[in-house]
Amino acid sequence: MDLVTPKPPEEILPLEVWALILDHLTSPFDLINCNQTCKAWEKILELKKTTFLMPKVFPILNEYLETLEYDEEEDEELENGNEEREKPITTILKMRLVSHGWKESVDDYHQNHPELNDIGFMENCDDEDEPFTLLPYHFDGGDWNSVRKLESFLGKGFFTGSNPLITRYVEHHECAQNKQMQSRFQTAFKRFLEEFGSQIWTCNLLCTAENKADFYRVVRSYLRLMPNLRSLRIQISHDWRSKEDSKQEELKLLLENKPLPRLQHLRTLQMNNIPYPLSVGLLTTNKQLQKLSLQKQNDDDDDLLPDYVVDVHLPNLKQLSLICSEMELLQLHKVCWPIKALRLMIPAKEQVLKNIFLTVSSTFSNTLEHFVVNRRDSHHIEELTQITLELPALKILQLDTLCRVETIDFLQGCPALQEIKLYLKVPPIKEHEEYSLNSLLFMDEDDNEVIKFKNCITSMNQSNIWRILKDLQFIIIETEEDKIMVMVGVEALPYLFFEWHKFTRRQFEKFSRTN
Amino acid sequence: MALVRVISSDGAAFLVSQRLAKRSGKLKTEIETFRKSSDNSEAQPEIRIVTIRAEILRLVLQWLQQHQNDPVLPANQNEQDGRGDAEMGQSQWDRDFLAPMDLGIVMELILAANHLEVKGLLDITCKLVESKITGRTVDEIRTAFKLKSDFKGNEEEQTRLENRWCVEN
Repeated sequence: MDLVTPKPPEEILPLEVWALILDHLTSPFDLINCNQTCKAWEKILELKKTTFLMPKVFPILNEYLETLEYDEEEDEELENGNEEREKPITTILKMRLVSHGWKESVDDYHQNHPELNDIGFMENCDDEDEPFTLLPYHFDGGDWNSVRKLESFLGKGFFTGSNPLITRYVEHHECAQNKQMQSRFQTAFKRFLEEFGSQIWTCNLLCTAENKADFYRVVRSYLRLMPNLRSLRIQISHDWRSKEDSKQEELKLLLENKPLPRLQHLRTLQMNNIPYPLSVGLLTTNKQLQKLSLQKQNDDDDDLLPDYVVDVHLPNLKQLSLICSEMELLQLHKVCWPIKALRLMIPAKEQVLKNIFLTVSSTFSNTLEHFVVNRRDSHHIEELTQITLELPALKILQLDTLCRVETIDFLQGCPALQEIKLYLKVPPIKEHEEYSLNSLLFMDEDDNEVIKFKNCITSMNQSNIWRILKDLQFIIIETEEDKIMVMVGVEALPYLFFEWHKFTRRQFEKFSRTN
Repeated sequence: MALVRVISSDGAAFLVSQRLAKRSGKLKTEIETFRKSSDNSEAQPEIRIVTIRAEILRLVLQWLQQHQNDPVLPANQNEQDGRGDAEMGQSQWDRDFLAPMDLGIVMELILAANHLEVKGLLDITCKLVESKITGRTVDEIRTAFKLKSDFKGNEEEQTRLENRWCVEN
């Protein structure tokens, strides 16, 4: 039979036979592919629509159910005693029992929920306040009850090789009160990983160890059992510095003789306070990383960006997030990763922004598109004078640190900017008083190409910023008083005062159209 | 009256007024983009919707026609006033509109309303599907959605175990 020349399906087999074959498909993802193959198959699969549309419909339905839960809370406050509605979690779990296709749709959504993997720009990857998302499988070695909970999971009768982890997300918090408890918890966790480790995609590991070598060995033994990890967050819970530690040479040998497994699917890595040799091991064995977050808590911990990073090649790295001291931030020039997004959490007090701008401009000028700076102390004022920022590819700039600036001419070094958010120190705005920023911020000098905010209260739309930064869609200036001065794009209105948290970008746009 | 041609994935063209089309967030953006890029301000915009077939697009336009004088609902009602508007948006006409539909078609409408950003239609279709699941037994859900259990061996039992652990956990 000629299988090369495309033919209508009925010339290959009678449609009744195709119907019998297609009837065996259960995965919605296979079904949707077949549905799009040809008209004849589309017709045959018409009745399976409620299966193969579910992966796309479920996220929308999920959001809808969430609003119902929200409404219910409101109702309770208003009426105090409504008829009890089925909880969304019950609805979701019930949907998993309807058919293979529905189960796959629900699980696919939870396993691929983007928030879980976007740790580079989020403080937490586990939002337990979310009333509705299935929580990770949390195993806490802090007391005997928790140890027994883990052991009871193993005794539930799940089949080895099956996946009982709906979210494929496991949290392991090992903060045992004594050696015996720690040992029993570690044994049970390893048994758990031996049976189901290959099913885990996202893992949040908080481990205890007495020294760097032990920490390396424990984590290595866990990682070897989780070969399909996509996202890993790793923290150390014990103050290992108080103990006798191995010499640097011994640690180096450990890294060479007992290398870490390569986690070929790992895309996101968050390391909080991770010492040598685990830190270098994780970076050198996982060159495919796309998102990396590094955090240092104490000044005498290992450097976040030690000299070896010069030789660490991460050609696919797109996002980098650093939480560290001033010294560390100035080491940024060592990295040669082609990142597009950079988020820096800067120290509470020091004046560092000027130097950071210089370092970032010289290191990432070709690739950086999104630059965010946060500060631990939101009241500290950074004085910015004679600063430069040269990032020709930058589209989004977000400075969430209180600054006093004379001018924002430095933005001219970023001609591709689309969105700007600044947090500025300005004098308090009295009630009923219109306050103009121009006298404080922006020099109204002649008519040269200086970014001017001529009387921004009434005529921001006439500012030359829209001409100089041609792609600019909006600029947001937040002041200390929890009020926001919003100045929206070319079509825009002159000003709006709003509380920041209530308004999304879409609403800004809507306001700019309707006003 | 300014018109716009909206073309479905299977090539059917619908000529509708721009005023009506602009009640869909997506079509509104598309019309504005066309305006900006076109030299001729009188030119009739043509918008191809590659993910929605004619039968479904017709239903969306029919719903928009019926609701063309309703106030436009905010994209996210909770940010506006903290209240859902599904009940508010559902009229007898809506109930009659949805009543003869197979749930497969309703699911297609959910995707279409979501894609075209038609909040009111999205609300009533989601509400309908949700009502066929919440408070029903698994068998009732299978009947409503014309599905049969395709679990083999003890897969269903395994799924029940997983669900139970989720709740206990």
